[in-house]
Amino acid sequence: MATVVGIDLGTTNSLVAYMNGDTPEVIRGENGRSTLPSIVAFDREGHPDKTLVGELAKNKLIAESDRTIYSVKRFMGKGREDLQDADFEQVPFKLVGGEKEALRIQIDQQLYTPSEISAYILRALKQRAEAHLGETVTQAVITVPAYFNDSQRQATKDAGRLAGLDVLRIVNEPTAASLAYGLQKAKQGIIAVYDLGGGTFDISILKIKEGIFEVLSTHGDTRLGGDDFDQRIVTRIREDILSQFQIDLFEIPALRQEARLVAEQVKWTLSSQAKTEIVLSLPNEKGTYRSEITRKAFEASVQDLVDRTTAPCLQALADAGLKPEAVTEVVLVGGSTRMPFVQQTVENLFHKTPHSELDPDEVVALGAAIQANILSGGISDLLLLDVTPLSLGLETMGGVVSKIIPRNSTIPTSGKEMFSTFVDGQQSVSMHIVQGERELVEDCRSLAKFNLTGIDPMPAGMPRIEVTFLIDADGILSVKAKDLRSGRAQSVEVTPTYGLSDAETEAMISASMEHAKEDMEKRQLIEARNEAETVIRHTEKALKQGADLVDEEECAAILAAIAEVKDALTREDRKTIRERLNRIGEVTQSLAEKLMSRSVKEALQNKRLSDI
Amino acid sequence: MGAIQDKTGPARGPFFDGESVTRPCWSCEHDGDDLYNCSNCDRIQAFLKDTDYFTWFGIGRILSIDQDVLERQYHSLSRKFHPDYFQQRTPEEQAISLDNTARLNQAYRTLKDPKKRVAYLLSLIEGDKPLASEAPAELFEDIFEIQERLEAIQKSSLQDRGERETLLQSLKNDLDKMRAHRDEEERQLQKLFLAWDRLEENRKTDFFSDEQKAHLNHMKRILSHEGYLDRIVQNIQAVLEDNK
Repeated sequence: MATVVGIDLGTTNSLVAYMNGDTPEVIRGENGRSTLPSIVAFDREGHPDKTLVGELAKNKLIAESDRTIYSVKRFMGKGREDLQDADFEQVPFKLVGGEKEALRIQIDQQLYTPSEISAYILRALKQRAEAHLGETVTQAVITVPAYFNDSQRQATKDAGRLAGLDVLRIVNEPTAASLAYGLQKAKQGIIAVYDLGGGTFDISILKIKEGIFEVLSTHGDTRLGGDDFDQRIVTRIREDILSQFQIDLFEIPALRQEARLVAEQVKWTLSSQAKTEIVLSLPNEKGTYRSEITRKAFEASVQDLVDRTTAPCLQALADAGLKPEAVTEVVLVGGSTRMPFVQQTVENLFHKTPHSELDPDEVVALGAAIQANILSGGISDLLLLDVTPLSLGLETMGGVVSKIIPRNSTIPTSGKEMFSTFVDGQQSVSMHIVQGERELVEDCRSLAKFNLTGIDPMPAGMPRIEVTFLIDADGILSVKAKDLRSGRAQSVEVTPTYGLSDAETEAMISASMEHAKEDMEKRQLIEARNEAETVIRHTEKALKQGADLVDEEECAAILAAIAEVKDALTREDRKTIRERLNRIGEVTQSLAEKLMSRSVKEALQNKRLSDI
Repeated sequence: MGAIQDKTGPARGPFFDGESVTRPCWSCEHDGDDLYNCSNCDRIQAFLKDTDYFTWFGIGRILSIDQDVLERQYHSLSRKFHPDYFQQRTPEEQAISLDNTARLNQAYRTLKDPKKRVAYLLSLIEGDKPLASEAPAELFEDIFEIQERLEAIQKSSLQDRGERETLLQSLKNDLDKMRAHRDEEERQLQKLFLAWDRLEENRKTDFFSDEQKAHLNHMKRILSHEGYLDRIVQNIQAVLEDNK
């Protein structure tokens, strides 16, 4: 059976893993690293083939800052209203999006959705897995932060489809991590998974019992992560440079990007050292900025950010009906948990030394590989029971939310609601679905508007339409409606508030399929060319070796066939190259046989000689 | 508040009364006695029509439920139904797996919580109608005073400190009293559970005794107070929080 891979599509780094026998294993890139930087760089000439992903794209961050996209996960499934003005200023590339529209990233005249950018990363991971496994990979499990809402999950699934992957399941990152730890330890008990990544924070409380991983509660912040810590250092550098050199690095995109990379490096260093030096050379020989920074000072500057993880942890415990003492194990996930300050905060919170035996960068991908294996019919004794992080509600009179599915409900789950009409002869009813915990619609996040149409005209209040809201195992909502009088299914039109409509997604997918076809054509052409060159080289060599074995006519035919192939190589025409290569095969058959029998004879003669 | 009507059928489902129940498989029509899996073609089967949460979990319509027993049954049914195990099966089987799991999860969520459990039992007996939310009659006077204090403190920004402190102190006492009342009602509910279960387990006829009906009405009354008491507790807490 084809391998189903597990993918951790991260804010900063992405990974792909699979089950090698009964051990999950991360697949490394050609450079030997397990992580692929989640960065996509678009070519300046707009050449689609020259789009770079990963380390190669990372090298372009400074020189090509306006067309090198990083941390795109922060924008997945979001609209203009989800962001603050600062978010637009914080990135050196151009974000666009009108009211109630999915955000897009503009490169020259081209607009890309975050899903499309993510698809580049997923494609690179797919290729990495294919190269390692020696087989085509078409199915995957992709992880998302537990606190991702419906649109963010849908956007991730779309990215998978755009990359040519059948996404079997969207799995929550902390839950995946718990699988990786659970498989290793097969423990029973209550586990708290504290996951602080590049851009998101999640806390999940799980109960493990006899192979069942039951998530009791989850909470988080999808706008909090390592990126924000870097930003604090950048702010410090900016202020210093402004006062010392009168240069505003925010006005020089390349310098600003460089400052961000330096800040990231400084943060890493401060995890193992008490102090380090920030060094940044300024452009146009304006000198070099140098400043010493201590771990203590850094920690003080991010104290409020780390503190922001405390309330979600306490809320998750309360939702699970537990006191911190009830937690038997605490697991750390995500690169930002390498910071001693974060580790200390977690320890104080749960009164326990947290686990970090597994690489916090790799553990989510490893767990995704385990889940992928479960779904492909491999492991059958483990079962994940996950929850939906946010309550699902309907707008009712006066903009008040009526909850249908409470947060932390185990998924899949469904809720039913009855609808009728207000006016005689009314043939359609519309509903507004929101996600969130607040009482008023305006404080929750709008998910979609649903329109029930084709209701038989009847006096007001007579139609009885039962609407079922189903949250599937991916945490994604679907809606079905049934007319209880006639028993027939009622059509439901869905208009997502920010995400893409099905039609838009389909259009993007078919476009990417065309690209995939183009890509395949190109690859096959390259392969045919390479093969042609090899065949020409071999034929010319054979003709020299067997000059005495061919007559003039045969020799002329072979030379003509070679010339034909060389001619075909001047054009981009794979079919002709292939046909003419076949022709060489035909005209050289006799020569090849003669050469073969001569070499066999020689071999035999040699043997006889040596026998003597 | 409507009176409890005799609308219930036999209280025990097909699981545990020794009757052997068979069902035709939706796919191959084989009559099997494994309710969730066809022994002939290995296809998953949907929950039987006209069965309820209590029957799925193999318990009668009883209210004192051992959480461990409930959890064990939940895990065992999850292992039978979960979509993870049907990823490689036909679309029909996947649809049943998804629907069964969604319903199972809802059932577990309902039965796990004592108050949701009673509300569900009431809905089985009385039909699906929203529960009333009303103040406990014995607390009418207290609640009236609490409302007055809450209003007074909102308007009292200019009042002198002493008066304010007195008001806050009274509200603290009110909070304790409301909480105590809530706890007391919960204890009563537990007692009613046991009383109900005793009668239910010994029930010989298809109909509830007058005593059972009285218990149901009492439980219903307690449930109707829940929302009200919660709101008052929340309101007092919010005011105390603001005036810390």
